Amino acid sequence: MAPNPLTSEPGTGTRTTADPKILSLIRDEPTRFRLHSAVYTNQHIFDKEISRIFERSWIFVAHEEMVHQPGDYVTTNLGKQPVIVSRDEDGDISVLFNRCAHRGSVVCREERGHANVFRCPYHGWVFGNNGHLVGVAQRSGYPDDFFDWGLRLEPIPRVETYRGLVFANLDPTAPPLSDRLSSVRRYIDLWCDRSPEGRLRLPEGVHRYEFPANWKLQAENGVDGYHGNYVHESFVNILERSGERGAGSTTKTRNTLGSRNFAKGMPHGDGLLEREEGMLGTFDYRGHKDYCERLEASYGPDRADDIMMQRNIFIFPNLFLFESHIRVIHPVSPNTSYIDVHPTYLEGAGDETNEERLSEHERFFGPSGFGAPDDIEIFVCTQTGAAASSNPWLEFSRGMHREALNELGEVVGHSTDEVPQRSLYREWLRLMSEGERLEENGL
Amino acid sequence: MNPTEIREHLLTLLSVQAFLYQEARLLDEGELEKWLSLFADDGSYLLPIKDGPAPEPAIIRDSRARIEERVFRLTHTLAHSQLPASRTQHDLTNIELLSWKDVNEVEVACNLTVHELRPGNPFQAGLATPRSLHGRCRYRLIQDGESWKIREKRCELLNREYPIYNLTFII
Repeated sequence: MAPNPLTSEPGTGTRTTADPKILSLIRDEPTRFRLHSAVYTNQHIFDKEISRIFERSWIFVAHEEMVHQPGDYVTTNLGKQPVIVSRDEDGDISVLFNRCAHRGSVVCREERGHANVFRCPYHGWVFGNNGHLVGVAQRSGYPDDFFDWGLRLEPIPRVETYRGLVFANLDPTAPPLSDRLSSVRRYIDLWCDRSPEGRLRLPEGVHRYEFPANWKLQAENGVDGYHGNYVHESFVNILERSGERGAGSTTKTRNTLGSRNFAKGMPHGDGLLEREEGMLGTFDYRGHKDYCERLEASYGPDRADDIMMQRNIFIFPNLFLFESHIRVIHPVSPNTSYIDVHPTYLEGAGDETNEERLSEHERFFGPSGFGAPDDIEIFVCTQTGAAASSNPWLEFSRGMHREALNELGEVVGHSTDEVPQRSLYREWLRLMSEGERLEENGL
Repeated sequence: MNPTEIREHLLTLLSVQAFLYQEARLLDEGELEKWLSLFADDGSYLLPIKDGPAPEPAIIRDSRARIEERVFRLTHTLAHSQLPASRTQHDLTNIELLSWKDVNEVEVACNLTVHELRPGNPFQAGLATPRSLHGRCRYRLIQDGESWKIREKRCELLNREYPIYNLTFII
């Protein structure tokens, strides 16, 4: 039986400065990249992911459109911590801990709504939607200087927004969001600019999945260009039946090293799958002449053509921008995860285009879709298989011998190569081992 | 209701009940193509997430053509999420005619519990564990000779806006 890095002596990797147990979970060699399957199953590793990654990184908490009007709010989790994303009367977005300053109860139990104040259910303390304490029950039980104690719904230390995407960071010393997004920003722009007005609208309905497997299986798979012909054979058959596209065409897209089909790994763990035709290529923008004309009028023909590429954009650690939707992965436990899929409408694209696009989205996604549930089934199969320990290593080596670095600092490979996954796990390892050092130094 | 109306109401209710029980049996016996034949040519099958003006994303918003695709997927393709295929048991209660005076089209409400289990190795996640899904259904049925066709089947699941694992069988 192979040694378990969590209990055995350090591995033989070249890095020696940080925690040997964490570092030994990945074997990063010149043409081979392996990951220990304990990263899917181990509770200790999961707990450290929450504290060292989710509580120290820029994490997507909402799209601005979800809190469109002053008073609108949504509640979510940042790592494992409950937060409220709220737009106050001045139109500013706050991200607040959902925790009463008195005895710690949550002050809001809804997922989404409209409120000027949040009232704690325990003793009736009232906070404005910007977090300020505005009233306490039976005030005379506290001294005169009570309102100078600074009690409030505590704000998340850092909140920044880019193109409507609201990110929060629990680390007050984190570099600004613009630094974090420096490489992936160009793709966020292309994604937003599918709207001729550069703006998206989000309907309230969200497709949500629960599954008994580790959150990173979805993170890996969303930029995996290798699995489509096998996991989505059923969907390919459906397309064949409807005469929309032959399996031959799909297979060709996947296996041709074309000039425009790439998998990319970016700095900060971000990744990209970029193809002329995606698996969801059944909705053809080019058939929507008005939309195409508006897009060209807004951006010119060259950029419009670039915008039309099918992209799966992964923003480490848990956000995807897919062609039709925003996807957020929520880690719950090592073997339980949630996914929220927020379909988008493109402002300025016209109702007919948006409706047809949504309908195609529903065909593939959601817990009853013809594609996404098959992916999730594979995550569950992997979670079960990962318990077998004779060879605990997962191979993420595909295409490592043929990848190249471009002038943007991106590692570029064939669209079926595991380039984005290697990028994801190198950043994962960096944050996990850096977190170890910070914890040892009492930070 | 006068005695004549009561008689009409009961006869319609019994006929509708028999039809809905037949639908449940076909689903539970895996006779999906026969199930499909219960739908009218303009029939639809809906599992909404939110109420409100269309279009809103739904868990299922199938036109007749897409119901056909759904059945094709489950009967003729390798759909990993249905390998092994779900065993189901559809239990209907509280069957009530909401409108029945138009003999050509009736509206029916009922409560639905679907018990589901995917056979297979019980040591593996997702298999051999019974689940129950609960929902309130509304049907619009149109008269078809001695029986009915489904113009609309709509089921509001109790947990419709919350995370759901594998809903790839027919509710």
